[in-house]
Amino acid sequence: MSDTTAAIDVRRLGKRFGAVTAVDDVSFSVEPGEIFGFMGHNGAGKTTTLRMLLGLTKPTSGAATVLGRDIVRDTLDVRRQAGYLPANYALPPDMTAREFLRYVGAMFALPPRLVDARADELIARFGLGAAADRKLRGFSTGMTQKVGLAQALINEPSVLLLDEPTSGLDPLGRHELLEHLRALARDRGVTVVFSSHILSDVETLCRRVAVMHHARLIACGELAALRREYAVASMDELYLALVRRHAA
Amino acid sequence: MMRLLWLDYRAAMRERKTWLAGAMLVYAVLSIPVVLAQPPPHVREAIAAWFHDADPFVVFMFVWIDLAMNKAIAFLPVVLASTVLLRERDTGVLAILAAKPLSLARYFVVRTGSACAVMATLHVGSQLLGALWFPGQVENFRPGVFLAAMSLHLFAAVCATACAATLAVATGRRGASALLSLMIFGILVGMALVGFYQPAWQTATLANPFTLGALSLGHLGALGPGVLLPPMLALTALTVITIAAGARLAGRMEA
Amino acid sequence: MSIPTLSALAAAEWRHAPRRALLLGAVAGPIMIALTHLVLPLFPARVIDFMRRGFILDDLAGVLVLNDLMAVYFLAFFIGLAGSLGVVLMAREEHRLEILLAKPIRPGDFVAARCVPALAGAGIVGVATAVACGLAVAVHPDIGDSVSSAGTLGAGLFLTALALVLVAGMQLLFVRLRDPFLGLLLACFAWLATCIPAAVLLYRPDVFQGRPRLADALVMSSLLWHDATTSWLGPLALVLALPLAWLLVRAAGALLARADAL
Repeated sequence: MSDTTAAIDVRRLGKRFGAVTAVDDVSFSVEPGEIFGFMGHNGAGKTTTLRMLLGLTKPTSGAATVLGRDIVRDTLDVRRQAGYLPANYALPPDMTAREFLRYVGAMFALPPRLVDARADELIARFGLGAAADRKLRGFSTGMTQKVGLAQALINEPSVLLLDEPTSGLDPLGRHELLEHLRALARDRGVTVVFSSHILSDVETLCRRVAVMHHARLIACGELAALRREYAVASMDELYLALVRRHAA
Repeated sequence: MMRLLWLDYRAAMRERKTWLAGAMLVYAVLSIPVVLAQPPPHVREAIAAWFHDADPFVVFMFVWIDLAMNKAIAFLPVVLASTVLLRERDTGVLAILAAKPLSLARYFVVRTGSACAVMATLHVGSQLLGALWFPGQVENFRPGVFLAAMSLHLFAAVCATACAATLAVATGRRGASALLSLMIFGILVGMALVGFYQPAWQTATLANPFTLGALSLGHLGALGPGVLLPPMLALTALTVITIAAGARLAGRMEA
Repeated sequence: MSIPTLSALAAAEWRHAPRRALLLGAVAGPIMIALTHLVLPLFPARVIDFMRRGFILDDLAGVLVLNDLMAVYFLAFFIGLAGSLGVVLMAREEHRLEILLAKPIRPGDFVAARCVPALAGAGIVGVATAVACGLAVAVHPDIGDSVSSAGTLGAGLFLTALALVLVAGMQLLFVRLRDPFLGLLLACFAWLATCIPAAVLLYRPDVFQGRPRLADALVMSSLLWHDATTSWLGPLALVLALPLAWLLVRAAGALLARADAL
């Protein structure tokens, strides 16, 4: 049965690429305004799940809704309400940060003045002012990630799907990014799905987590409750305990 | 979508390759009168026989279309459009853009529309420059007829750009799409004026968009809507069908 | 661990290079030659005469072979170019260049090895199409005797050599560019520029009046004016083009080594 109050509701979702099962019978839900941790090793199926939520790849089984909208039937509606930062991406090298934000804003058919105002606000919020009119070609990893996050926020999304957003960032950049995400959830009620294999980031940011392993969901719930259940103190120990139990 | 199209067009117009393409067209405008300063008698006679008109302006129009503009619309659309969506996909930009509330099919239409607009800007710009430069250089030059004839050619340029974009999403590989477009356009340009040389084949050659774009060559003495509108409509229909086919193929692409 | 030899790298590149363009060219070349020989003789005599007089050719054979040679030159150049764009330019744009250059390979060897499939593709397609041209003249004796099979083959090999040198020379530009399609545009311009003298001969023959050596040096149809010479000059040009192309590729590698990879 679907959870109508959840921001994201995933029911027995599955995806096969030929003989390879990328996501197998995954179910979880995310509450509105929550920062939800989505953990797992590389290739566990996190990215494919996020891509299915945005309609970028079609599920082969199961169903899911984002803000009550079906991810297959109402794909464009879902995208209108969502922001997405993929794990692997590049920014158009010949555009400036400001031009790129305006370009992305135009994809939402928002009024140009509103897009300009939001772009200015995001540039200021992420400290990109000095570089806003420079070509994106020479941007550092941290700056690129800031522009990446800014483009995901240009439509003031209700749901933010972030795929490995902290990988490649230095400690300061990571700290800043996590602060931004906290502020978004706290001040604006944005629901954040934070996919990562960096366990300390998930531990810092999330109250509830889902853990994927070899395409299957092996745990989902409150972090504190999971720690109690497995009698472990740290996130690393919890993850190892979950994986070992699954392997056994 | 119009706003996005406008932003895309502006970004494309600022690219170095667009400026270089513009410079090449300026070179064509400046060099063709020099090439045509003293055409030998056998050239004048042959062109007069094909187009039933011995006016030096007809010789000029033949060379301008055959030597300059047909070559331009065989090469420039490939440079402008045979990378549509594939470049974004291969460089990783599409990973971001595909997650926006604009389907890949519609995004293809925007990108192709923008490439067509850039091609049209380059084409119109070079004809306007020509209309200013040629009167002092070409004997009996008629700016009105020149612009009317080249307005039809513009439709062929836009159609070629749409074809290059659709071939891009059909092949799925940048190098292959450019090579295939160049080969197809090379053959079509080579065959573009065959209908004038061999009137028995004229009907068959009308299937070639480059022939449609050059049809005004046979009616320079009486160029009017009756001559220009049917090929313009045919080229518009072909362009729309081509873009629709490309959009359908783009919709099947995985970001 | 030792550094791989250039020949080993080149062999690996050749094994992994896509063969589609090569196959396309090898099939398209003979088809284009066959179509030219089937269709062009059906044109009215005035058209053939226009080309014959314009390019100073003696008979229909000359007109047909000149069109055939355009197919050789077009295919050899653009098939070589399609591979050549991937050597550095596309790898750079797709963020692969840094990964590849981080391996224990000298940038010069990297460029040279990756150019091998592109140049080999251009060479194979050019030679195959040139052979098809020669065969077409041999099996079509009624078109005239101003050009021989050997001369046609030689002219085709000469243009293949020119295409090889041009493709290799473009790499000097490509290692400094970032946009592959700017590279493509420059390459198109270079190819068209080599065809301009033929257009000048057609519409402004006075430019070459009293300068036969200039016409011989620049105009493509001059290959058909000296049939006996072309039959040995073509193969010789191809033999000379190989080290020259290699030199240009090595120079491009040296440029890459001196520049920032990205």
